Amino acid sequence: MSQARGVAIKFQNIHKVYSTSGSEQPLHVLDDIALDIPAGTFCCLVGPSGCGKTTLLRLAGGLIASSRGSALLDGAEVTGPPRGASMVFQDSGLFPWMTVRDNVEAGIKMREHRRLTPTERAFSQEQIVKVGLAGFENFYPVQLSGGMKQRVGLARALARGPQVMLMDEPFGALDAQTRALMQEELQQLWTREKITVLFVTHDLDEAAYLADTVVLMSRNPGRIKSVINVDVERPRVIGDPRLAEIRRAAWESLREELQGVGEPA
Amino acid sequence: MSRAEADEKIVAQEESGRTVGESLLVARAPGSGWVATARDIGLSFGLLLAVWWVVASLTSPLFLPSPPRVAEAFVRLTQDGSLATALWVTLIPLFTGLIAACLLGALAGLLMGLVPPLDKITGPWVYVFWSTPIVSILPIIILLFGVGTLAAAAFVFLSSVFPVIMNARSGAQQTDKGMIEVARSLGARRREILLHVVLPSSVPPILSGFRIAVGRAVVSVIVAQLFISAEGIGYMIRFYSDTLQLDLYFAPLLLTVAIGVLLNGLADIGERRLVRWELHDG
Repeated sequence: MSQARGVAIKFQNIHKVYSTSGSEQPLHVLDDIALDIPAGTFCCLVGPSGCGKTTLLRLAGGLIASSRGSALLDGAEVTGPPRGASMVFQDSGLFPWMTVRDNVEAGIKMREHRRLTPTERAFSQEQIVKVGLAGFENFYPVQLSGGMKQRVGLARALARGPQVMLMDEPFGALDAQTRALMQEELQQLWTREKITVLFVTHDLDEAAYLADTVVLMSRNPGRIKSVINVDVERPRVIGDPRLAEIRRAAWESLREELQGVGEPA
Repeated sequence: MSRAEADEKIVAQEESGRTVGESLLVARAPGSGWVATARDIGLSFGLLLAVWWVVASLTSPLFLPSPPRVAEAFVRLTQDGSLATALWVTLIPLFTGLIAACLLGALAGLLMGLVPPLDKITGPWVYVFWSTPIVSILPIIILLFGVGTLAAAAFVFLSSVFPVIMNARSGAQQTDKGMIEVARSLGARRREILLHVVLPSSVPPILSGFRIAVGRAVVSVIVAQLFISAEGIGYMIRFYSDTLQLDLYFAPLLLTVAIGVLLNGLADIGERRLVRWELHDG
């Protein structure tokens, strides 16, 4: 329990280097990343493309290994996809050949390598209701809108009863209105569930609205540039001037970064 | 919940929007469902029959017999049982060869797609066979299997197995890497990834392979009988054309067409059943 109260995700001096072919310099994607994310908090990773934010998320999710340093989830080193973590993907990552229900249940089935117990099945159904998709259990992803697919992805993540949710630009492909709606709902959901969330985005407004801490990253090599705490009580309202102030500060920091390196063609 | 409903409404609107676009392009005939479909099909074939009849009445019955004469021949051949016998003799090699081609082809293709070293060796073989006109190896088949049902079945198999192999292979190879990654993130093991990701995502290409195989199988069983058999529909076609009894010649020919249409229709239905998740309204 003391662990759960403390740090949920810990990045210990992480380096990630991709060796390239030929005489080219090896690509230093992540350079000495050290970051503690307290349990129950919402952390947004923001930065220009190529800063390694998604790489860092995939490291925490156990999908790739670091070159040096380690990621810890609830004190345990990540060596493969951890049981207590759920990932949510930008393209929703639903299996097109499974119905909504099967997709949600796959989150448990593929972890436990067995059929679901009645309790687990009931819990999965609860998550479908929670994200507002009751009545759509037997629909296939192709029949759903973009926003609905993301809801299914969210329900699948929640059905695993995770301590940590790793979200990779989950609303990046949605239209502006749907995105705003999903942000509101995610905030409500998170306020109730108190799961630790690591959320990758390039949208500064989204980061300011959702996060307790906004971690800004720079690229070439990927480093943590600054950390901004968002001390605005919840529920937050989109358009709150204090959030706009956070956004402005974050943009100042990022612009410097973009001008310094120059936008590649 | 109301939001999900709103989402659904948007989807529904998009769909009706598409229908409006279609009907702008082509004026839609009134009526709906299978009654309208049956009417359209009747109209289509009625027209074809009319053209046949007109052309037949303008040419010598030696070259093109009229529809009633063909119908008469059809009834005669049905009553004396020769058509039924020929059908039976044809369907056996057709189905044995086709089913073997589908099962073994899918298995071989999936294995090739999943085991790169195996693919390196056998891939070029498949390309070579795929490019070979299979008719040209009919003499070898006759030498190996004689002129009976086995030879016809072997020929059907060889003609239809390669499209199945090719499609199963590319299906397994082109499994979405993103989907595999999602399964890994959920904790899936290799066997689960194979069973729940690679296999289902290979089903649509394998089924299109089956579609091609069905068409080739029907053609090749007739070809085999035309060339090598002394029985079956293909043989009947050859016999009646050689003896210039064209009204009798048309009866087995029409039967062949019917088999082709029926099998393609069945493949259609099977495909729609099996890959409901690919369609927009299921």
